[in-house]
Amino acid sequence: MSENKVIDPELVRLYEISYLVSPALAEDKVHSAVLPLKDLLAGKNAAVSAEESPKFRRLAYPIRAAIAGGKKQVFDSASFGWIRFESEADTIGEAKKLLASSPDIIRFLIVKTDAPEPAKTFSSRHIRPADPAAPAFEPQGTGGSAETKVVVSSEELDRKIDELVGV
Amino acid sequence: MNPNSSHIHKSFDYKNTELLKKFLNPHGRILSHGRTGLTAKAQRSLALAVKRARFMALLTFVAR
Repeated sequence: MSENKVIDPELVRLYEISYLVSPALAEDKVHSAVLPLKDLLAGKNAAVSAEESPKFRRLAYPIRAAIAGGKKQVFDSASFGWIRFESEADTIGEAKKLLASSPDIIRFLIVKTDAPEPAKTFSSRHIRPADPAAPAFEPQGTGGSAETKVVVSSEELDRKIDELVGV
Repeated sequence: MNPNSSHIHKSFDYKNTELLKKFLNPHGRILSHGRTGLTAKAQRSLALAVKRARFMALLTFVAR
Protein backbone atom coordinates (compact mmCIF):
# COMPACT_ATOMS: atom_id res chain seq x y z
CA MET A 1 0.00 0.00 0.00
CA SER A 2 2.99 2.30 -0.04
CA GLU A 3 3.12 3.12 -3.71
CA ASN A 4 4.73 6.35 -4.77
CA LYS A 5 1.65 8.48 -4.30
CA VAL A 6 1.27 12.02 -5.43
CA ILE A 7 -1.89 12.27 -3.34
CA ASP A 8 -2.18 15.11 -0.90
CA PRO A 9 -2.89 13.48 2.48
CA GLU A 10 -5.13 16.40 3.39
CA LEU A 11 -7.58 15.51 0.64
CA VAL A 12 -7.67 11.79 1.26
CA ARG A 13 -10.71 10.41 2.95
CA LEU A 14 -12.07 7.05 4.01
CA TYR A 15 -14.95 5.85 1.86
CA GLU A 16 -17.03 2.73 1.79
CA ILE A 17 -18.96 1.39 -1.16
CA SER A 18 -21.47 -1.38 -0.69
CA TYR A 19 -23.29 -2.98 -3.57
CA LEU A 20 -25.83 -5.61 -4.54
CA VAL A 21 -24.87 -7.89 -7.40
CA SER A 22 -27.60 -9.39 -9.53
CA PRO A 23 -28.47 -13.01 -8.67
CA ALA A 24 -28.58 -13.73 -12.40
CA LEU A 25 -24.81 -13.85 -12.28
CA ALA A 26 -23.41 -17.30 -11.48
CA GLU A 27 -21.96 -17.56 -8.01
CA ASP A 28 -18.38 -17.96 -9.20
CA LYS A 29 -18.73 -14.93 -11.46
CA VAL A 30 -20.06 -12.60 -8.79
CA HIS A 31 -16.55 -11.29 -8.11
CA SER A 32 -16.10 -10.28 -11.72
CA ALA A 33 -18.96 -7.76 -11.35
CA VAL A 34 -16.82 -5.54 -9.12
CA LEU A 35 -13.53 -6.03 -10.93
CA PRO A 36 -13.93 -2.77 -12.90
CA LEU A 37 -14.37 -0.93 -9.60
CA LYS A 38 -11.27 -2.55 -8.12
CA ASP A 39 -9.30 -1.73 -11.25
CA LEU A 40 -10.38 1.88 -10.94
CA LEU A 41 -9.33 2.00 -7.30
CA ALA A 42 -6.00 0.39 -8.10
CA GLY A 43 -5.47 2.90 -10.90
CA LYS A 44 -6.16 5.76 -8.49
CA ASN A 45 -3.76 4.39 -5.88
CA ALA A 46 -6.60 4.03 -3.41
CA ALA A 47 -5.60 2.12 -0.29
CA VAL A 48 -8.15 -0.62 0.34
CA SER A 49 -8.37 -1.07 4.11
CA ALA A 50 -11.13 -3.65 4.35
CA GLU A 51 -13.53 -5.49 2.14
CA GLU A 52 -16.06 -8.26 2.09
CA SER A 53 -16.68 -10.18 -1.09
CA PRO A 54 -20.29 -10.47 -2.28
CA LYS A 55 -22.35 -13.02 -0.42
CA PHE A 56 -25.72 -14.27 -1.55
CA ARG A 57 -28.61 -13.23 0.68
CA ARG A 58 -32.32 -12.66 0.62
CA LEU A 59 -33.31 -9.02 0.38
CA ALA A 60 -35.55 -7.45 2.99
CA TYR A 61 -37.89 -6.27 0.23
CA PRO A 62 -38.03 -6.84 -3.54
CA ILE A 63 -36.00 -4.36 -5.57
CA ARG A 64 -37.05 -3.27 -9.03
CA ALA A 65 -34.03 -2.53 -11.15
CA ALA A 66 -33.02 -2.60 -14.77
CA ILE A 67 -29.91 -4.63 -15.47
CA ALA A 68 -27.86 -4.71 -18.65
CA GLY A 69 -29.92 -1.80 -20.00
CA GLY A 70 -32.94 -4.03 -20.37
CA LYS A 71 -36.39 -3.92 -18.85
CA LYS A 72 -36.88 -3.50 -15.15
CA GLN A 73 -36.82 -6.71 -13.21
CA VAL A 74 -37.81 -7.56 -9.68
CA PHE A 75 -35.14 -9.07 -7.48
CA ASP A 76 -35.81 -10.61 -4.10
CA SER A 77 -32.29 -11.86 -3.57
CA ALA A 78 -28.83 -10.61 -4.43
CA SER A 79 -25.20 -10.81 -3.41
CA PHE A 80 -24.18 -8.13 -0.93
CA GLY A 81 -20.58 -7.01 -0.65
CA TRP A 82 -18.63 -3.93 0.36
CA ILE A 83 -15.22 -2.37 0.07
CA ARG A 84 -13.60 0.29 2.23
CA PHE A 85 -10.76 2.41 0.94
CA GLU A 86 -8.92 5.68 1.29
CA SER A 87 -8.85 7.97 -1.68
CA GLU A 88 -9.41 11.45 -2.98
CA ALA A 89 -12.85 12.78 -3.71
CA ASP A 90 -12.59 12.70 -7.50
CA THR A 91 -12.28 8.92 -7.43
CA ILE A 92 -15.76 8.76 -5.99
CA GLY A 93 -17.37 10.54 -8.91
CA GLU A 94 -15.82 8.08 -11.32
CA ALA A 95 -16.69 5.11 -9.15
CA LYS A 96 -20.27 6.31 -9.02
CA LYS A 97 -20.51 6.55 -12.81
CA LEU A 98 -18.88 3.17 -13.19
CA LEU A 99 -21.27 1.45 -10.79
CA ALA A 100 -24.33 3.18 -12.23
CA SER A 101 -23.45 1.93 -15.70
CA SER A 102 -22.44 -1.51 -14.49
CA PRO A 103 -24.85 -4.12 -15.87
CA ASP A 104 -24.74 -6.54 -12.94
CA ILE A 105 -24.94 -4.18 -9.99
CA ILE A 106 -28.54 -3.56 -9.06
CA ARG A 107 -27.91 -1.08 -6.26
CA PHE A 108 -24.97 0.55 -4.54
CA LEU A 109 -24.28 2.95 -1.70
CA ILE A 110 -21.27 5.21 -1.25
CA VAL A 111 -20.66 6.54 2.26
CA LYS A 112 -17.94 8.54 3.95
CA THR A 113 -16.72 6.78 7.06
CA ASP A 114 -14.58 7.89 9.95
CA ALA A 115 -14.10 4.94 12.26
CA PRO A 116 -12.13 2.11 10.64
CA GLU A 117 -14.07 -0.67 12.38
CA PRO A 118 -16.77 0.25 14.87
CA ALA A 119 -15.93 -2.83 16.92
CA LYS A 120 -14.90 -1.49 20.33
CA THR A 121 -15.66 2.16 19.88
CA PHE A 122 -16.85 2.70 23.40
CA SER A 123 -15.80 1.49 26.85
CA SER A 124 -12.38 2.84 25.92
CA ARG A 125 -12.21 5.77 28.30
CA HIS A 126 -8.96 4.36 29.65
CA ILE A 127 -7.33 4.76 26.27
CA ARG A 128 -7.78 8.51 26.56
CA PRO A 129 -4.56 9.28 28.53
CA ALA A 130 -3.16 10.55 25.25
CA ASP A 131 -5.15 13.71 26.04
CA PRO A 132 -2.75 15.19 28.62
CA ALA A 133 -0.08 15.10 25.94
CA ALA A 134 -2.25 16.93 23.46
CA PRO A 135 -2.01 20.42 25.02
CA ALA A 136 1.77 20.10 24.97
CA PHE A 137 1.67 19.76 21.21
CA GLU A 138 -0.71 22.62 20.63
CA PRO A 139 1.66 25.54 21.22
CA GLN A 140 4.09 23.87 18.84
CA GLY A 141 1.43 23.56 16.22
CA THR A 142 0.37 27.19 16.43
CA GLY A 143 3.92 28.48 16.58
CA GLY A 144 5.57 26.18 14.06
CA SER A 145 4.82 25.60 10.44
CA ALA A 146 2.11 23.29 9.17
CA GLU A 147 4.75 20.75 8.17
CA THR A 148 5.96 20.11 11.71
CA LYS A 149 2.37 19.79 12.83
CA VAL A 150 1.82 16.90 10.45
CA VAL A 151 4.93 15.10 11.71
CA VAL A 152 3.84 15.41 15.32
CA SER A 153 0.36 14.13 14.62
CA SER A 154 1.66 11.07 12.80
CA GLU A 155 3.89 10.24 15.77
CA GLU A 156 0.92 10.57 18.02
CA LEU A 157 -1.03 8.33 15.71
CA ASP A 158 1.68 5.65 15.84
CA ARG A 159 1.73 5.82 19.59
CA LYS A 160 -2.03 5.45 19.80
CA ILE A 161 -1.92 2.48 17.46
CA ASP A 162 0.74 0.87 19.63
CA GLU A 163 -1.42 1.43 22.66
CA LEU A 164 -4.43 -0.11 21.00
CA VAL A 165 -2.45 -3.10 19.78
CA GLY A 166 -1.05 -3.53 23.28
CA VAL A 167 -4.59 -3.68 24.66
CA MET B 1 -34.23 -1.23 26.12
CA ASN B 2 -30.75 -1.72 27.44
CA PRO B 3 -29.76 0.75 30.13
CA ASN B 4 -26.11 0.28 29.24
CA SER B 5 -26.55 0.64 25.53
CA SER B 6 -25.34 4.21 25.53
CA HIS B 7 -22.02 3.04 26.91
CA ILE B 8 -21.60 0.29 24.39
CA HIS B 9 -22.71 1.93 21.17
CA LYS B 10 -21.19 5.15 20.03
CA SER B 11 -21.65 4.62 16.33
CA PHE B 12 -23.66 2.11 14.36
CA ASP B 13 -22.70 0.27 11.22
CA TYR B 14 -25.46 -0.16 8.64
CA LYS B 15 -24.10 -3.61 7.73
CA ASN B 16 -24.60 -4.93 11.25
CA THR B 17 -28.28 -5.64 10.81
CA GLU B 18 -28.54 -8.03 13.73
CA LEU B 19 -27.59 -5.22 16.08
CA LEU B 20 -29.82 -2.68 14.34
CA LYS B 21 -32.82 -5.01 14.61
CA LYS B 22 -32.61 -4.76 18.40
CA PHE B 23 -33.46 -1.08 18.07
CA LEU B 24 -36.50 -1.60 15.83
CA ASN B 25 -40.05 -2.39 16.82
CA PRO B 26 -41.90 -5.31 15.17
CA HIS B 27 -43.03 -3.00 12.37
CA GLY B 28 -39.47 -2.10 11.55
CA ARG B 29 -39.67 1.41 12.96
CA ILE B 30 -36.79 2.89 14.90
CA LEU B 31 -37.40 2.91 18.65
CA SER B 32 -37.54 6.27 20.32
CA HIS B 33 -34.63 7.74 22.17
CA GLY B 34 -36.53 7.12 25.39
CA ARG B 35 -36.81 3.41 24.67
CA THR B 36 -33.30 2.86 23.44
CA GLY B 37 -31.54 4.77 26.21
CA LEU B 38 -28.94 5.95 23.72
CA THR B 39 -27.19 9.27 23.83
CA ALA B 40 -28.40 11.84 21.30
CA LYS B 41 -25.29 11.29 19.23
CA ALA B 42 -25.67 7.52 19.22
CA GLN B 43 -29.37 7.81 18.42
CA ARG B 44 -28.58 9.93 15.36
CA SER B 45 -25.98 7.42 14.33
CA LEU B 46 -28.57 4.65 14.76
CA ALA B 47 -31.12 6.46 12.61
CA LEU B 48 -28.59 7.01 9.85
CA ALA B 49 -27.43 3.39 9.94
CA VAL B 50 -30.99 2.06 9.83
CA LYS B 51 -31.82 4.27 6.85
CA ARG B 52 -28.72 3.13 4.99
CA ALA B 53 -29.53 -0.49 5.74
CA ARG B 54 -33.08 0.03 4.46
CA PHE B 55 -31.79 1.47 1.21
CA MET B 56 -29.53 -1.52 0.66
CA ALA B 57 -32.48 -3.85 1.38
CA LEU B 58 -30.80 -5.25 4.47
CA LEU B 59 -33.74 -4.07 6.57
CA THR B 60 -37.36 -3.53 5.64
CA PHE B 61 -39.00 -0.12 5.44
CA VAL B 62 -42.27 -1.57 6.71
CA ALA B 63 -42.88 -4.95 8.28
CA ARG B 64 -46.35 -6.16 9.00
